[in-house]
Amino acid sequence: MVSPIPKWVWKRYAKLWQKFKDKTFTFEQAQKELKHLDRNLISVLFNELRTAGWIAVNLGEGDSRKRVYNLLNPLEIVESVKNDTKKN
Amino acid sequence: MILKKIKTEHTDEKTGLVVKRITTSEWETFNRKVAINNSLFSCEQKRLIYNKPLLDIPFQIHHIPFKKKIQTWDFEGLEVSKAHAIRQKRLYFAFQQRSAERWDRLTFSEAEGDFQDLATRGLPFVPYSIPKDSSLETWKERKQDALSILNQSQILVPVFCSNHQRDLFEEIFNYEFENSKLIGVQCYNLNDNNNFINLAKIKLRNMRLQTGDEAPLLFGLSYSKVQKSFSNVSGCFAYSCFGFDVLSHRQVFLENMPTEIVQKILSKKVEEIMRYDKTLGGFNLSAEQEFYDGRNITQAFLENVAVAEGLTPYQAIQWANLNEQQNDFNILNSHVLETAYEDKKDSALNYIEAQKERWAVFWKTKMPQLSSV
Repeated sequence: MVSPIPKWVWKRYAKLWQKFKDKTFTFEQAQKELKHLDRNLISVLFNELRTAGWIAVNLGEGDSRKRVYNLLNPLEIVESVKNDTKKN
Repeated sequence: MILKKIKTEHTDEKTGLVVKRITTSEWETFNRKVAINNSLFSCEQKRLIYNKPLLDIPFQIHHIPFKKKIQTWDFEGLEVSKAHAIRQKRLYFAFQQRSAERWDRLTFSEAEGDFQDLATRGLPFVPYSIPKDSSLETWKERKQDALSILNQSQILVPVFCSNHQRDLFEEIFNYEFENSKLIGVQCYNLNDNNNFINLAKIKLRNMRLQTGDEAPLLFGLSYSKVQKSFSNVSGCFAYSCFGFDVLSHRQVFLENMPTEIVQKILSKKVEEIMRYDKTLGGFNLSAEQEFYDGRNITQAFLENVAVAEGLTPYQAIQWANLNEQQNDFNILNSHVLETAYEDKKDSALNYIEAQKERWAVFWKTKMPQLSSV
C-alpha cells in the first residue's frame, strides 16, 4: 500500500525518477544525482519514501551490508492509490 | 514602552511549541519573532533616508561587539540604535556578544563589571551574563547585589551560555524561568552534547507552560544564521524549536577580522550570498536554485529591487530573508494555535514535517520526538 508524500519529498523523487526510472541504484549514486543535498537530508528522504511505499530497499548483490534502491513507477503508484480508494 | 505581561496562549502537546502573548504599553503581539539586529538596523537607517517603510517587528536587539585590538566592549552605536528603537516603539535589548572562548574565561568579577557598565547607560533591560560554572546559590547572591544598583524602571535580564556546566544549569535556569520576565541565552553548536542537553532542558521547562500561565520571554542569541551541519536549515527555526521566543543570530563584526577576510566578505558576488527559501525553510545558493528550479532565484529577486529602495543587493537579500522567515513563523504560530482544537492536534507537526524540507529534516533528525515520550 502506498501513501501520499509531502511536496518536498515529491520534488526530490521526481529528480531521482528522471535519472534512474525503475532501475536499481545505490545511496552514493543518489547522492551524486541530488547535488547540493547532504547525506542527512537524503537519509530522511529515503526514509520518507520507504515509509510511504514509494521506494523498495533491497540487500546489495555480493555485499549484503549495502542497500540498493528501486523507485516505484509513478503509474503504478497512481494505480495503487486508485485500488485503495475503491477498497475504501 | 513598558513591558506589562507575557502570558501563555497555548502549548502544543505534539511539538512542545508554545504561543505566548506579549503585552506592552504600546502593543500586543505573539512570540516567535526575528528581531531587528545590528545589520538590519543599518538597513533601516538607509531606508529612512529614502523615506521607505521599515520592518514591522516590535523587537530590536543590539549586539555589543568586543574590540579585540583595545580589549574593550564597543558601545558606539548603542545610543543611536536605542533612540531608533524608541521611535519605532520597539522593545529594545542590548547585550555583549561573547564568543564561546570568552564565555570560558568569564568570571563573576568581569560579568558584574559589564553589568554595571550597561546599568549606567539608561537601558530598561540590563543583561547580566552568568558565568558557565555558576551554581544557583552563587548566582542568587550576585543577583541580589546586582538588583540593588538598578533603578525602579530597570529590569535585570539573566543571560546564559548554552554551554553552561550541565549539572548546574537546570536548577539555575528553572529558577530564573520562575522569576524573570526576560531571559537571554547565547547559543552555540548544536552538535555539542552539553549545548544540546541544556537547550533540551529549556524546551522541557518551556513546554510545561499551560494556557494563562505567566511566562518569561526567551531570547535566543548569537547562534549561526545558517546551520550548515543541518542541511542549511534556518538558525531561527532550529533554535525556536527549543522554545526561544525572540531570535537574533550572531553578528559579524568586520573590525575584528583580518583584512583579507574582510575583503573576501565585502567582495561577495550574488551567487555567493545565501538566500532564505520558504519552500525549504532553509538557505541555499544560486547554483542549487538553478539546478533544481531552473532559475537563479536570488538574481531574479535582485532584478526586482529598485535602487530607490535604499539598500545594497546584499542588504536587500538580508531584508527579504528576515521578512520571509518571519512570515513562516507567523504561519507556524497559527498552526500551533489551531492545535487547541481536537481535530487539529497535528496541525503544527504536519506543517513542520510536510511543508518545509529543511525544517522536516532538522525536526526528524535532531529534535526529541515527543509523541513517543
